[in-house]
Amino acid sequence: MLKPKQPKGSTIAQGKINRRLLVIYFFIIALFVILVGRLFFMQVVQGKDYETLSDSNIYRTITLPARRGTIYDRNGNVLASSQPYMSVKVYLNEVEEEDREALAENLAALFGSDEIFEAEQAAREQMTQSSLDETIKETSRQVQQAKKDAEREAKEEEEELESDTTSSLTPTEKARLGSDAVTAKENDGEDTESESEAEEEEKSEEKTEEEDVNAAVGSLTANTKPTKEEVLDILKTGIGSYNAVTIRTYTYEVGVTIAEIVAENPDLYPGVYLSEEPMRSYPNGYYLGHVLGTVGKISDAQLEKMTTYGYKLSDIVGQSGLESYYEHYTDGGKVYSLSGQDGKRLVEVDAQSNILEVISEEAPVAGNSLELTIDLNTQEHMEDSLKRIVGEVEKEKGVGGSAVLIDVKTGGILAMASAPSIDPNDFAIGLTSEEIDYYFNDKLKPQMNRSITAGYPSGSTFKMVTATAILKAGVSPNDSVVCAEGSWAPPLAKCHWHGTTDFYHAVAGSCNIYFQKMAARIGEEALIEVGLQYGFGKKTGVDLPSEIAGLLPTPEWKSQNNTGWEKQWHVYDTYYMAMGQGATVDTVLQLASCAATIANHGVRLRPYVCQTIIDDDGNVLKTREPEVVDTIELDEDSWDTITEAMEGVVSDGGGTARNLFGSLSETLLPAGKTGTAQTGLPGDDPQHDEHGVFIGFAPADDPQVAFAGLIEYGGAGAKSAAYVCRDTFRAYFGYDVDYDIILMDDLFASESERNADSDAENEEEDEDESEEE
Amino acid sequence: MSSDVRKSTDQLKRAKQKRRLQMSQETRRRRGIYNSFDVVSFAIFALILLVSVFLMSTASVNANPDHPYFYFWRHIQMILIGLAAFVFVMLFDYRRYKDWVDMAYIAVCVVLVITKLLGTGDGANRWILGFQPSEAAKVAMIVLFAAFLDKNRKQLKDPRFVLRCMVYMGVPAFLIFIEPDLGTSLVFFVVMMAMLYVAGANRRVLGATVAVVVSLIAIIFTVLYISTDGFDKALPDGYSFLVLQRYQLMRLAIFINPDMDALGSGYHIIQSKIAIGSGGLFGKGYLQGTQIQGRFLPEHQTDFIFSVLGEEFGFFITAAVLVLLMVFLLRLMNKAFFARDFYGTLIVVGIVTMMLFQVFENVGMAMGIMPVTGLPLPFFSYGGTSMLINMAAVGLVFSVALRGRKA
Repeated sequence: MLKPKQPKGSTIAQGKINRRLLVIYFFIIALFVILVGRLFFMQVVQGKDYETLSDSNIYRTITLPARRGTIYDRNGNVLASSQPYMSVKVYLNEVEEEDREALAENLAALFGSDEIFEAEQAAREQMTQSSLDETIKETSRQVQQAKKDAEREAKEEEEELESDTTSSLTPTEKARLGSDAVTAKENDGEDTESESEAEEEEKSEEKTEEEDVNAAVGSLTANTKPTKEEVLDILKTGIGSYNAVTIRTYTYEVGVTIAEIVAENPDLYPGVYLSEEPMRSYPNGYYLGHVLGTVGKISDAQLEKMTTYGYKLSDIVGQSGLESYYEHYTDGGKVYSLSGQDGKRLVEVDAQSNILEVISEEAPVAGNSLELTIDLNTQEHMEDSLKRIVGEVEKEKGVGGSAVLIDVKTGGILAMASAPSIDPNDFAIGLTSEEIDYYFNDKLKPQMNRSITAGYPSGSTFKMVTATAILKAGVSPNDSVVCAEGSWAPPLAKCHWHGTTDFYHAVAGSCNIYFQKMAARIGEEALIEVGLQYGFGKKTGVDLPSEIAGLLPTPEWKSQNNTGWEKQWHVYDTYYMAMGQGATVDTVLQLASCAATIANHGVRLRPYVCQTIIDDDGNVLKTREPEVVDTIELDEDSWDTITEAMEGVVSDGGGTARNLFGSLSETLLPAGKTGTAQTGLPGDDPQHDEHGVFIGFAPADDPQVAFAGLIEYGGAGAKSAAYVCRDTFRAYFGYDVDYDIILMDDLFASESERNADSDAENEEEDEDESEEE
Repeated sequence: MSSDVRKSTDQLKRAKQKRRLQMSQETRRRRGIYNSFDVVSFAIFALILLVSVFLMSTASVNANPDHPYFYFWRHIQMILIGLAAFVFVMLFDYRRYKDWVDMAYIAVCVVLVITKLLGTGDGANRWILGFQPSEAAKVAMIVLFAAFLDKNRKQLKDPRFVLRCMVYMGVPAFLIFIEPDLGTSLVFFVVMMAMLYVAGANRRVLGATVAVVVSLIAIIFTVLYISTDGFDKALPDGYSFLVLQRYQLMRLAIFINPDMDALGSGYHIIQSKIAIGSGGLFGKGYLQGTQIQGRFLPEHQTDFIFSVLGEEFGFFITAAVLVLLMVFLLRLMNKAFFARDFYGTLIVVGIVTMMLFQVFENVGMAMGIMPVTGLPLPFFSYGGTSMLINMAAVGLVFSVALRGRKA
């Protein structure tokens, strides 16, 4: 039937036409063969590939965020927890290209409407109530002012800049800048590996900081009304992606209101939906902020490292402190994680992302919780005290300080403070421009945990190392040195008149001549050995990120980092070291660990913050046992001698901090050592720019806690860091009943003492040395 | 007695039937019908229409969420109206159209001008009172052009006459092109070339015309290649070349690389290919096409109806439907051999090539081997004018066949 038949009686012309018709006839067949061939190729040969593409259209994996673990202090107080928040998200593939602008405008109008904006601001205020608002505003004002000043004085400064001093820094000076990168480079200690690691950490941290700013400005709540352009910019980041873009995050209550508005006007808000997401909350505000750390969007560098652990783009991860250290913590082959494991829900959707069917669901696993060794009450008092003392320091110079309290028996850290403070809530919610001015201030560096990331010369507190080395070398505590006008000839650093000084009086009165001469007698080798045993010049191994090793100079280090005459180790290097000056750079945590080691009669325990890791059901997964890192072999009598001398510092009539504890000395039995360390920083006056340092422990007969504190530019240790120690001990041992009243008295007392030329102050000045060499 | 009565009434009935038959034979003679109705071709035609109704039942479900079977019922209505048009056109003697040729040509052009001026539509002036004049113009011009060629048969070898033919067809084609409707004006060109070829027009002129068109296409694609960085980036807004506007050029460009504008112009073609390819051998099943039912492929009840077939029913059934269409077109083509006159042969050639081009273009577009032009798939795509006109066109072929020579 298909074949054309030649009709009867066709003419020649008809025959020609028929031939041409046949051509068309076969043309039809040819075209259909092409179509069926193409169909075969697509459906049979490439069918599987197209099936995959089809599946990727309809199947979507929805992440069910895991609840981040809670952080508790030793008494079960909540330090960090996760609260439900609502994120406004947009699926851009549901929005027509020409509707984008209208959507951005509608969203901006919604976010800026009185109802939403006021509720948002109220919620924000409530969240950051305990926060640093005043400090931040003040800093922001200063920064803005500084910017203006800088612009005005730019021309004048240009000339001065040519003779910039930083380029001509000696290694010693560089090491004192308090930056890990510098210190790590200078310190060619035992393990170069860990140091390069530290450098990397530092670099990635810097990056993270920059990214944090961007992320925070972009997608989270702020204290300004969003403009249409801002919303549009965020929207545009989602072009070409099937994932939703987060526009703004709200507290749960505000989020519910927005969800209602969106549901009522689907035409105004195409592709918009709200999703509940846990967000980090820190109920105690800035207290313990540095130790707890911050969370933020995962950075590209972090993602590259952590992608093997199942982390993905736009995850919220710990960026500093414990949040970062225990983000993904491996120990003994086991993995502990604050973040837990996100769940997945596989759903089938249509082109408008309506869920048609839930195909499978994998429940999220909540993160592990941490129980810290921190005592919140002590922490709060210590931080308040630190803040007060730092605040008393002359404004221009005084920038920060740090204090650490360690449990002598275990090495657990009871309190760790760093000023200026950070409020991790600010990072979780998103930084405002004022907060950015504050947190990213180059001079203040509030984000730095000064207890472990900053290196300082420890000054006379280091004399306890020298003291231990002297006794260890077999020097009798009764051997004495004459400290008088004539015996101060260079290269010995000068001192104040102490007369004939034995061990006890040398410690109590902090006699420079005694320690310099004794150190020279036993030699630098013995001094360095004990210094290393106390843990100086290496990381303590505390469970916090960004710890630096500091620097304990050795002859090898000196020859590698200097030229000419300075390549040699000279006797004045030993003198410097004996007093904690020169190239020595320590962290406050190292000092606290040193104080605890003295209290422990030579047994050095590794300091730590996290006592136990528990799972969501409260089962203990891991408990940390005290770990002995090193032991200083010294007879008990010598330890008693050292302890007795340190008691003398705070209670003896000739002690450098003799009135510190007042009548409390009799019941508390505190022991301590003051230090007034020349900053050694370029541009500082060596005579007057000094950090105030103090270490101590109590009670002397059975030490429980050890303290170390440092106030930048605080001057005499007895008049700065020592007060923090006293307040901390009071709080810890329960003497804080009349705390506020005592504080007021102290404030008054310290003022008057400063004005009146008391004996104590004169003795303080024996820390002064000239650096005329 | 009763048996007699019964006998006589039976006789009466038979006589009546005979008379009725005689009357119909008279009618047939009056209407110039010499051949019997081609039942087999009509059965294939009916089967195609049934398949299209079935297909519309699954395609319509998600096309209009408020009224799931809106398009389905409208499609059936159109087929019923189309059947009436089919019968009417079939019974009407196609030779009588010759009487109105000049008037009709003017009428077609006037209606197209009115459409351009007053027509409505999304981005183009194609509609007048819910009717697409360009669809009707296609079939009308096939009849008119066949008559034109028949009348001037002796001049076919004259190159100047071929140029005249091009002007004759070119005027309505141009009016449609500026609506704008590039696809339909292309149909005019293809149909004209096929009819001129079969009529035996000067081959050199035909060859030269094809050469000009091919080089024009080559120039356009070269320009596109340069303007899109090797078919990588979408054309800038407001871009145009010769008489073609940006969206028309983009359709050509995404034919080479749909991914260059995956969420814009290339979206349909990508989703259509995914739909068809993922159908596999046996398809995803009735109402189970995820691309269609999940609305990833919009317009699946009109221009992309073939993708519904491919996705839900798979290779075997889809290929079978294509073969069915081919057999139907071949059987229609058969009628050209037995037409009573040159005029009738040309009408059949025109209509078959028109349908062939539309099928190839539409199905090829859905599978990514032809550029997107917006031509509907005859008998399958939803659309009143298209259905009515295509069924009338089949009626026209039947009209030629009924009055043709005996096979």
